[in-house]
Amino acid sequence: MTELRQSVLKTPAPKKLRNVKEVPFVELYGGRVQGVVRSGSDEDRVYVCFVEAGTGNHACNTNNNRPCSQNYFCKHRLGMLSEAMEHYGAERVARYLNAPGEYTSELSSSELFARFPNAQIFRGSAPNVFSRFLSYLRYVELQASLDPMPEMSWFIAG
Amino acid sequence: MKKTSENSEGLTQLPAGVLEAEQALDALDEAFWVGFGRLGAEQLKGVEALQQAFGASALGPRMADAVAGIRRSEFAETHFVTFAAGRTALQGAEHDALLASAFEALGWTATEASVETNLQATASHHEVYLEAARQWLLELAIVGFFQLTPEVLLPFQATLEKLQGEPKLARQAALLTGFYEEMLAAIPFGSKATVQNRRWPDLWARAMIICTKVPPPAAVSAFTGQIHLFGVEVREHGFYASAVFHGIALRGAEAIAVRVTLSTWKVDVVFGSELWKLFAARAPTLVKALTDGLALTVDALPLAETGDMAWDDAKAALAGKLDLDAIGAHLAPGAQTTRRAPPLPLDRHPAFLALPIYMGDFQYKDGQISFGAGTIPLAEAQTPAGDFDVDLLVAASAAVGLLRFNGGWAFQPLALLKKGKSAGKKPLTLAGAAAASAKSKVDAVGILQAKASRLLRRKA
Ligand SMILES: [Zn+2]
Repeated sequence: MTELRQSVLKTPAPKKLRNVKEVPFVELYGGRVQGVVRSGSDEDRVYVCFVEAGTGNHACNTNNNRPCSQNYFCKHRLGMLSEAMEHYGAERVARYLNAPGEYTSELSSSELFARFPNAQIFRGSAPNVFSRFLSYLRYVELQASLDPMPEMSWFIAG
Repeated sequence: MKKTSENSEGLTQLPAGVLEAEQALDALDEAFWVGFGRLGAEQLKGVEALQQAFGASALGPRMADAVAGIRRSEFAETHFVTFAAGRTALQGAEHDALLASAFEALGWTATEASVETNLQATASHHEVYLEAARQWLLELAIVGFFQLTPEVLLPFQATLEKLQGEPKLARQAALLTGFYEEMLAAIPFGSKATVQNRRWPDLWARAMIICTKVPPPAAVSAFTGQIHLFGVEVREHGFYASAVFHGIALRGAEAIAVRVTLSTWKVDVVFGSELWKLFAARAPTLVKALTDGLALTVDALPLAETGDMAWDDAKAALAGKLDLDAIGAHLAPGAQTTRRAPPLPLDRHPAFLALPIYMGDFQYKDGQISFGAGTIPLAEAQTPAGDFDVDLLVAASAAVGLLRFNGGWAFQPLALLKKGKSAGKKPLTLAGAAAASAKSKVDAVGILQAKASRLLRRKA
């Protein structure tokens, strides 16, 4: 039979369940790997981190936009990146960041960071990561429908 | 009538007209990827060929207008609604041709009557959200998928949140959320070689259509009788999941192929057993019927003319053990009396084809499934990862599942049966049952809900 184009392609599923308590939010978004990390000391505070694709430029700030006291490779940045690699798989994260070198599933977050020796610390507020996190939290409170959902035929986890 | 086994080409050859329709769709795909704002001579030719395909049909004059408009760089919404309608019409015709040839090959009788719908007025604030969605879709089509940037995508977030807040617009919201997040995660395309796909233009056209006219629900009647579930398919993206239970409803001598859909908004960390916890909380009896392989009796449940049943756990009770052979008799090739309901007119898309079938002589080898009526591949794209491992497929001697179309017919197993001496203790495996009975070790939803109530309230 003639090969036709396929309309249904699998939606990449999480590789593993990440540590939701430590890193409640992580995503690949608009050219950044970004996420939110719990503060060890204050329940109302979270750290907002990102790493930019291509450059490896990175940042870590509190949700009130105070820069993290640790300057480089803080446990928040590394923790966020490790959980992203747990969730999406190390290869996919490395590829998304356009990191130099080979992509393997054994890659660690500090090794991945080291692939960007010229990366700079991004000063200023992390663009909309925290509002993305709030939108993310909204989902667990939304009301679903009882109706048939034929369009969901396009979304299969794999 | 020929015997089914002599008709196997019905599942391996394309019906007349499908190839031509697919070629027209290829040309239209190209325009969506390049962007209608920057079409070259080559792509314009493709779009014009599409216009010719509609020639004298009802859509013909509108299509001619739309193509002329694009030639003048006149990017009006109405032209793009026309392209979406054209795409939908082509795929609707493909759907019908594929369905008819499959039914003929398998010796099934099509249900002639079309589905009645209940017209409903759209709330005025819904109109506002839907118009905003169409505007954004228009923008995507002009820019082209290859040129997508966060600047094109991100402004849609506000509209998306409005849509998500309206349960009556769940179809639009669930589709647009999946599409939006998929595009955001895919860009920038960077140095990665990107092949244009059929999928994004399809999702775009579908979104445009259901944001132009909200699909009316099908007419319903009350059903009282027995339901034998033969498996479930979980359809999900990061933020929405539907568990679609498939079964046979029996009322006296009457047998009807039915579906029950449970849906939930969620986040990406909620999958597998975590997700099933949400479904089990909503419909404990239904989920228990799946995990324990039991039949159900239901009392006056609303059954739509499409075969979709609106579930109410309070109206259901567990009955005896599931009898797969009895179910099989209603779904086997040649089983003429089972009612197989047609979809809503708007829901005729090849990707939505999911025909329940019993294969009493199932054989799996290297990704191919042989049964009485021929050999077709396993529906890789439609079968969720982890539903069945290869060992189970190899050991199975009978199966119930769905015939799916994704560039060709394929089989998605929902229930596998081992027969004879090798059957052992667990002869029957249902898709979804393992995930639904597994205990979830963490409470991701609970953790996030606690976080949400803290941070969202504090912000508000
Ligand atoms: Zn930090």
